[in-house]
Amino acid sequence: MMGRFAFGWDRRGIDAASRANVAIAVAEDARGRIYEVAAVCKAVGLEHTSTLTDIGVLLGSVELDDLLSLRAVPGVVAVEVEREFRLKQFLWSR
Amino acid sequence: MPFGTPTRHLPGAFPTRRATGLHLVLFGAGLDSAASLTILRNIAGLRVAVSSDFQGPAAPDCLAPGEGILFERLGAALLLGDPDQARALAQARGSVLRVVPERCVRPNTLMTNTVPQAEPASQEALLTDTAFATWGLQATGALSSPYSGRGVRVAILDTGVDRGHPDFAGRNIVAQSFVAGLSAEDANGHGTFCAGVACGSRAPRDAPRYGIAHGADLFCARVLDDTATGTDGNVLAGIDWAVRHECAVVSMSLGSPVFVGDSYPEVYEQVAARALAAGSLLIAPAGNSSSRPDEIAPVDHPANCPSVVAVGAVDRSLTLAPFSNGGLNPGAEVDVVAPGIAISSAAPRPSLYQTATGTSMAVPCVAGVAALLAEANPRARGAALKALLLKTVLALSAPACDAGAGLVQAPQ
Repeated sequence: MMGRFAFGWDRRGIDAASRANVAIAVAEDARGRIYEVAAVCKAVGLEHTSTLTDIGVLLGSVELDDLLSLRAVPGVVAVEVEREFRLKQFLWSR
Repeated sequence: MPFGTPTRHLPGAFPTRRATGLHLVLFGAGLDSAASLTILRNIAGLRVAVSSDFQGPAAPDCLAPGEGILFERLGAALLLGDPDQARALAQARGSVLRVVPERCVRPNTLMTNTVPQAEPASQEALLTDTAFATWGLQATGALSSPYSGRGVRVAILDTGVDRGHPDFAGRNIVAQSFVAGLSAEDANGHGTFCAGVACGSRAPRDAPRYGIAHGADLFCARVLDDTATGTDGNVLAGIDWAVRHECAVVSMSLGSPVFVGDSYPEVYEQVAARALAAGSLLIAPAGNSSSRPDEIAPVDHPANCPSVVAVGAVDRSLTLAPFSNGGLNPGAEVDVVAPGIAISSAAPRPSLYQTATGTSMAVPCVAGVAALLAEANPRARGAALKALLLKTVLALSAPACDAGAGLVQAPQ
């Protein structure tokens, strides 16, 4: 079974890279200590770039080999590799 | 057509989807390949091949009756079985999430440049832009609504906004960029367009009225660059900002395609649920990858999250737009639809006005209507506002998984 089913994130597009940007959802009961959770994530390899306190999310990047360790940090409920977004429109006339 | 009397004719029957004669089986996310094979062989009595055994792509069209293919990466299988076999699989609850007739789908490719034209179901039902208002405002009843969204904060997460557009003069607009190196000024046009549909002026300088919540406060976050591309980090930062500013409505006309069989992203679902709890309703497009009736693609990410309102598009006859994605994946159905073909709105200076098509255009329409509902029901925020939005609709004849509750309607 592939990564997304086994580990809860999507591996598409990251296999050729050694490092990925990630979004980490902090568990509801750990949101009050989100900075402590961030510190533990940094200790297991997260290069922490942002803390989104109002939605309980940490942003950063991590070596792919450290994804499992990140997922196992107490207070982390989900880890996802960053996706790219595009607009949902396909016809313009001015 | 007079103002305030949007056509209430329902379109004709939605074209029947093209079924292939096969069945698609979706397994639970925790089920491994061996267990899936056991179910297919022992419960349904099928002869099953595994897709990774094929040299090159597996070819479902070579299946004989009683045979199936297990797609290990998708957690799904295709089978050419009789109805009893399909029923037996559907009853394997806990292991099998869904058994559905296979439809032609295009999993993840965005359409560009071409617009399939839906045949209007009835000439009577056609709505048209008038000198006074766009057809979308007529279809949603926004023209006759006594509400303007006053006191309601609406966030537009997009390519920024042209704050100096004459139609936004005198409006409360807060803008913030979450894209490194770029300001919140819109050099693409998509963000200004969406801001215009959701919250544009009641009396534009040189165009029919195109905006719904003309009294709402606008919070525009740039989360996409000038090439209309962004990342999760940008979008999540924008959502966080909107929640912090107590925006009751968050319009996000963006997405990325998913595969049939994909589940929704857990981080986004957590975020959307938290936003709802904080009083912010996230709204996103179903996506434009379908070519109905032959091909239907699944609802894009992040609209596929259950806590996000997923928006499909209809045309001027209130028929589902041929490109509008559908509810193929469990939990990722379309919630509502809104006008999404030939929609006119604001453009950054010097153009001032533009017309566009897509589920992107339907999203700010829903956001505008949600803002009116929020003003009319000051205690309805978050999940309560979502419930109200899904209740205040005009039911359509399209299937619920593709059109949700129906066409959004402004409070009267």
